[in-house]
Amino acid sequence: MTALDTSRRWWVPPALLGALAVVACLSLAVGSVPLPLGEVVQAVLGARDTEAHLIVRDLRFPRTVAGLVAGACLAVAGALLQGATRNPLASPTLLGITAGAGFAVVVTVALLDVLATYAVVAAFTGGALAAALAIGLASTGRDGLSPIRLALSGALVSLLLSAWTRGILALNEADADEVRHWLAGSLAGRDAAAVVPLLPLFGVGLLAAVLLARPLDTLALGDAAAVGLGQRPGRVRVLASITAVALAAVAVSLAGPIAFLGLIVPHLARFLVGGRHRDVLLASALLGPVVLLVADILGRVIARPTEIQAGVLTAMIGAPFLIRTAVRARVAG
Amino acid sequence: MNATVAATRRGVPLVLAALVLGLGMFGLVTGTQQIPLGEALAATIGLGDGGTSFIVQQLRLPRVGVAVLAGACLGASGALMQGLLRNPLASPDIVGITGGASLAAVLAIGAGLPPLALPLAAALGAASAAGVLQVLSRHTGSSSVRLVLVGVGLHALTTAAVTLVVARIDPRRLGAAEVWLAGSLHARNATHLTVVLVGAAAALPLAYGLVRSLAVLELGDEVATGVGVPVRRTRTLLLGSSALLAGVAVAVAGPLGFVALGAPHIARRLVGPTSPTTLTTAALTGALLVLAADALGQRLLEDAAVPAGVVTAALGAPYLLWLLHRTGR
Repeated sequence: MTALDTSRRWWVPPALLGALAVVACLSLAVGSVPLPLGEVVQAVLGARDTEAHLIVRDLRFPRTVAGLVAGACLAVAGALLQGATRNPLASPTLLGITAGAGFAVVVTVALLDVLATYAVVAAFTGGALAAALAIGLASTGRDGLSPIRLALSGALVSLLLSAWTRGILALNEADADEVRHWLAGSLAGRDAAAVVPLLPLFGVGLLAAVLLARPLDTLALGDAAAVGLGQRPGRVRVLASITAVALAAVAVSLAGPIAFLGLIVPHLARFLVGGRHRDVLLASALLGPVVLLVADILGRVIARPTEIQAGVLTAMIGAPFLIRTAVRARVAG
Repeated sequence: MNATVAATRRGVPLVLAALVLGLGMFGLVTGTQQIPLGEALAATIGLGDGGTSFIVQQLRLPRVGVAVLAGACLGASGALMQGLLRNPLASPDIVGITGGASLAAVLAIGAGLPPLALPLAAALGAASAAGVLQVLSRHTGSSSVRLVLVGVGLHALTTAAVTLVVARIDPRRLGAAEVWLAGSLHARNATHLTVVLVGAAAALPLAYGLVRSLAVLELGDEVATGVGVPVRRTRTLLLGSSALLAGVAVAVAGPLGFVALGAPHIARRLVGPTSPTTLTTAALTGALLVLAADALGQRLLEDAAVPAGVVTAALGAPYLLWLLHRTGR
């Protein structure tokens, strides 16, 4: 896409920001307890100790912030991975990162009974190991790291890890209920104490993503051209992958293994703003939370009085998207 | 290949069959109550006292039989799938066939259908998933890339749907759904054994009928067309019979992870590329894996039985690491 084309899309980030604001307000206003909009506004503006105030401040506000953070994390992680591997299918879900992080969190929470605050460390370790395994397996073939091998080996790693997770749950019925809910990818029940400790890591991850935008643009020209321009492609790939895994770990420890958000959002972002990584990353960071919060709000509404986890809905949207891409696109094998 | 190697390779299935037989007898003999081998074997054909006959005929024989046949079906299914997709990492669990079976089974459990309906629902689910795969990837031509990607998407979709169903299932049925999803051989009865016997009797001959065409197909579509193998029809049949085999196994034993992936790998390592011998070896390896996983799962923890599917999946990860290590050198 030429510079002229992209410059015409200047309105996209402000529009996404607007959409994000609307969705965030909806997320505060909609829930299993119906609150009149006036009361919600009053509660936000500081009417004290009403029921509405308690619900909005203690339940919906942290939940909305968790959705903002997790959505941005996964979308940016997906954009980084797709740029680093130059593979349109790379994403936290398809590389096994979310499954690895989820497995590690289940192990630490269910078996070792450590504080949930440290879950992000476990999530990072698990996600990184799973991604390393998936990429390693995909590179074993004669034709190297093709999209198809990456998709297969990532699916394989995810499959085995989720079987392990399921086994652990089958053996620990006491913890199973809560963990099962979390494993489906849910924003419900996040309180401020769960969100705040993760914010610094979130900030560092976003900053790293911004710094990686230009090197990823160079990488998109091909390895030979990148080397010619004085870049070390291997180092950029490793840094981008580490950043992506860290961001995905933040998302998973907040919201569970939310599926497919990191795959679809960068594609939508590229569709909206073109291929430059600065634009794609910005648009992904704005669009990811919109999609996740919409999924979360839908999940609260469509099955009242119970809730459907946001992760189930993102998978229901994301998997058909993958199938559609596969049916339409010519993917090199 | 010189004569000695060929002879060794022909011996591999025999050795594996002996191992399956041995482990199967071990399964009949041991348990909370030890039964001497002679009595146990007599009890399988109805000779012996009432208690022993009950234990062997109603509890242990169905369990061992289901383990052997489900494992064999999974091994054969994986061998066909890996040949069809020309990819050693493919297996029916990854392309959504097992997922379709799981979804149907969980729906059946959730709806409170009688236990007999469960295997039928699972088989139906596997068949539907294969049908969707076939329709969505029919214009693929020689490349199986599309089939794999559609399959990965299908798997994700069915997994999400299973989560959805499990989250909303009646709490009293949740335990049953959890155990089934983990892949268990616990409390298999004569009905399960009959289902898997009939299914295997229908599907395994089909697999053997296709294996020669598969070996030709692996040389490339042009070669296959050249020697008169109808490529498109053979592919459809291969996908269908692989799904049928996986469906039969999942119907009676739940989604036993890794068997369909690992058994054909091991088989190729033992006896070489696709041939009837490889198919036999894959089936026997699958049977051995499931039998061993079940035996291990029953003895691993003192106070609880670990579902066989958890054991097979647990074997999967180290196997992948080892594979990585080997090919990395």
